[in-house]
Amino acid sequence: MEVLMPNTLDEALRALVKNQDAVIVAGGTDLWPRIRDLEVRPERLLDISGLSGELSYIRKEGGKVRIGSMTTIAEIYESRELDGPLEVFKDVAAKFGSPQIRNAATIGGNICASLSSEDYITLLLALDASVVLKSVYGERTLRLEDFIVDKRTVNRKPYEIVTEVQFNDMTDGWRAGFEKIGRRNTLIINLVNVAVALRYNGRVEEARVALNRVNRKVPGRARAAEKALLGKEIRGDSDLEEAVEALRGELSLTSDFRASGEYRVALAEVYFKRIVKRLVGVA
Amino acid sequence: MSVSVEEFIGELQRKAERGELLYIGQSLRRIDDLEKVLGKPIYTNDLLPRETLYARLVLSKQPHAILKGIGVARAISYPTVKAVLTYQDIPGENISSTIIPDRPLFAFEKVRSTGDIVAAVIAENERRAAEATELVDVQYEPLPAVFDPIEAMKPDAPKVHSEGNVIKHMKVRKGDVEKGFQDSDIIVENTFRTQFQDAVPLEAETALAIPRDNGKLLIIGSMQTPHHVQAAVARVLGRPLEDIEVIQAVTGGAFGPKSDEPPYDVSSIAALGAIKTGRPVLMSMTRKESMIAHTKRHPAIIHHKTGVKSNGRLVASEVQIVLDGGAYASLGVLVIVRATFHANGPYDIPNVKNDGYKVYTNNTYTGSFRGFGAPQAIFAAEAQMDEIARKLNMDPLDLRLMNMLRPGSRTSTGQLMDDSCGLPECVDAVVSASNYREKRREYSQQSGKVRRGIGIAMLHHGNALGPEGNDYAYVHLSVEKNGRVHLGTALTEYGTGAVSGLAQIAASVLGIPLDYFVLDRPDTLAHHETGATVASRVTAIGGNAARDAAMKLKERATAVAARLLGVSPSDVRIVDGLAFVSGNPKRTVSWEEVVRAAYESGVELSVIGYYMAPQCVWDQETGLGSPYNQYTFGAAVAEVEVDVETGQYRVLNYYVAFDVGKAINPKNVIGQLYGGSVQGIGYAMMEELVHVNGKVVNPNLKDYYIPTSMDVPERMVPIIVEKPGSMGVYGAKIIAEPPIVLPAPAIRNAIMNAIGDGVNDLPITAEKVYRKAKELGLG
Repeated sequence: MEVLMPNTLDEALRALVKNQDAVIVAGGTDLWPRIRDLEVRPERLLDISGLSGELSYIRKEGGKVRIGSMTTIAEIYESRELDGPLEVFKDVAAKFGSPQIRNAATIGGNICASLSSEDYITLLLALDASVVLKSVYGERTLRLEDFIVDKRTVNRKPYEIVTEVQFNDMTDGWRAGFEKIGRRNTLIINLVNVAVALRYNGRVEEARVALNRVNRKVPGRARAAEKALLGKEIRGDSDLEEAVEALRGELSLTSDFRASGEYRVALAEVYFKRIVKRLVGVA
Repeated sequence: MSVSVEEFIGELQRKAERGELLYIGQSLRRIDDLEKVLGKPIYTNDLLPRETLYARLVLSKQPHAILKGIGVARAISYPTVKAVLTYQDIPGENISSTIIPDRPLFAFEKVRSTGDIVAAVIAENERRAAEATELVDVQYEPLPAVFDPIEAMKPDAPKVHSEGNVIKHMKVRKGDVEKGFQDSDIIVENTFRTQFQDAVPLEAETALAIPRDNGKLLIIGSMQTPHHVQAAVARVLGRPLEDIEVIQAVTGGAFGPKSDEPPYDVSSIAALGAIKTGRPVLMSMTRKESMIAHTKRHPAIIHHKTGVKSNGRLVASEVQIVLDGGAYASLGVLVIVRATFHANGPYDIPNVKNDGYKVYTNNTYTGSFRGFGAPQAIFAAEAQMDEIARKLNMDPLDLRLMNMLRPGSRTSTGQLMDDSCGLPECVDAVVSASNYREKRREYSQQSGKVRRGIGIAMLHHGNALGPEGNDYAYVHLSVEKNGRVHLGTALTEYGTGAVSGLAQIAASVLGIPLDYFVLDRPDTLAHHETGATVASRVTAIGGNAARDAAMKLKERATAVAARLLGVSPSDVRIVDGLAFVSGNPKRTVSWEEVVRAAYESGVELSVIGYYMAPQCVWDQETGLGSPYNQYTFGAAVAEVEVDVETGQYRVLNYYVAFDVGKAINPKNVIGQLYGGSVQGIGYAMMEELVHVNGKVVNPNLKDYYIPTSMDVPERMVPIIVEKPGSMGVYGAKIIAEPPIVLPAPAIRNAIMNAIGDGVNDLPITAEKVYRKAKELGLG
């Protein structure tokens, strides 16, 4: 196995053009166990940990929040930039693996793994985030929803590197909530996760809802539930019945040894309601 | 307040004059604690000589199949591969078994589970070895398989071995249960189920075999009982015992599987590889290999039928326990004995009929694991008590108080409880610490989405081996010329601190500080075979041998000191490393001077201590008699908070009291109460090794859930009760295993208190609680 270790983004991009079979390693927390278990046998790795100086940042600029792809989960957890409604990033980090994993894993790696277990995908979908990809040929920006294609499949060309995720800052009455439910309190793969972003001024003006499995095996937006929320004044559970009904139809939560599909759907419904009520300040 | 050295010594001397044992009951630091905290211990995998080769296992892909052929050609020609071992490479007997010789080291003729080892690949490099395992071409002809132990008991079920699938049927017959049921006002019947639990020692099974120039072999490994490993390897190699030296390396957790057959496997495979290649071979299981191929806790299906008077008096108890043994007998033939003896819980019941079965299936095999059948038995017995209480509309505590063992009552085998029965004190302790009665009242009228509950459970636990074997121990003490005392024994340390406790006992008898002691590595060349390090018996049984050795040594040292002090030995006291004349504390001679004088005057300061527990007498047919010399007792109260919409719950508080006879080192006892309780909480709430058609679907720590620090109760309260027993050293009772038993029934009963019904199959996942709550119309 050959390991390429560039020190700058330019070097990395040039190396990638020449070695388009290379598997990119960021924090390695997803890849190393799969190599150990012989699930994947890459001939060549491109280790981009040398780029962490360049690609590790959290910035607010021109109404946008930009997070460098090599920003670790621990850095997100400790960030002062992610305040106010953006504290929701820390709710994800708090239940993300263990301290050791949080120190290594990166937000870019989380997205590129493209699995229902990657909790930041769900949150970033609810924030309608975009992904910035760079290559020697230039740069393009893609909505995260279009970037995530399927389980372990993303819309990335073999010579591209994801350098950033970005989304509109949550001003203007936006609020967001996230919940992850697993079989224990930490170091756990979710049975369900739910992220909701709302703009609420007495009524729901805009709503974005994402879960770990919507209509396919990867996280996605629950658009029917979003639609059902629009215009609603929320005083209690009864105002959410329509949205819950819609949500139920969109989920593709299935059974395995961890939990039944039926139970996962029940959890999704309960936590969807709880988050929305919490965001609008209803007990 | 400061005390001068003189005053301090003076106080110790006054205690010695009164004959007090200075260190018994003191929370002395264990000898090996600092090096553990500093990460210094040298484990097996840290010891690899240059030229070491690595072995990886080829496990069966079929749960039950005829082995048509094993093609090794492609694997052998893979880069760096030095050997591929199969049954054809065994010069001795192809057996890797403890009691019943039913398990081959390498599969032969057929495979009976997906944990069967078909071959091992040995290569220069661990990764190459792993890759080459996939090139071993194993041909199977699948056979009908059986995975449910109840199905396996039927006469027409597929046979896992040539005989029927029931390996062992254990009985207890006391009084007349049929008459008891007739005399009862109500009869309560329930079935309970438990799961496969993995012990998850931090260090998986591992062994390093090093060929010696003289043709002999050295094996260094992670294990509980080196002499058993030595005998197992000798059998496989067809060599005499003395050709194989086994040293127990620092062992990173064990919990039972390392007293069972897995260490035989890794040691034998490393040994075969070392002989075949002439080089050191490390056979170190990956977590995945370990979780598939080592022994787990038996799943159980337990049926209770109990006859009760309307006032709550238990009249008759009939219990059937079926243990899923997996494909091999292992130490499980003894696990069913303990499970059957403890099946009715710690209660005085006049009529008892217990039937315990250990049954072969095509699941991976099960065996020894902390608790040894008690966790399953007591979960069912204690859940049944709360079911009975509900039927009688009685508080479960009152039902227990009416029936529980006390001094003067009798167990299910008719054994009379003497004054050493501290169960009532344990119950009092947890009931008052938890404020049980008031909370029970408070929680009886809740209506919201979040409800609390409180539950109790209790147990008795027969001490040490009892019916499981001869309970003896050897401890060697030898003093070096500089005064240091080496403590050597084949009883092993694997995390509890118990061997350090043996030194504490010897130090106390000798009157010298613990700092003088060095713990020698257990080594079959240096130490007597001393039975297995199992059944929590190191302190209670081994402690008697340590005491015996120390008393012999003290007699010799005292004689030397008497000569130096010019008095008679009866006038010599030794305290804190200083011998002095009774009544004249200023006339002293140091331990070092005594030792030097002994060396110079031909007094040998090397002794062997020995102890053997009284034989336990009980009837093989009826189980009646005294299968154990003494019992540990315990009680626990758990308090939970349940989210009835989702079934999610957390344990808020956990109170646990154990009658340990005499706490030789209270801090170590508390450590066992915490550690056992947390492992028991895992068993109660989340741990389950899932088999689907004989295949383990979650052999990794991503999907096999053990509690993290975020999952333990906010408050845990351990309480020590001391009612000295007749057998253990200074009245000590065993404690390492029983704490794992109580969380499951206590938590189950607390949830029942919170939502009005209990979950009768472990683990109690949130989903199961959710289903119950939904059935009850709470969600």
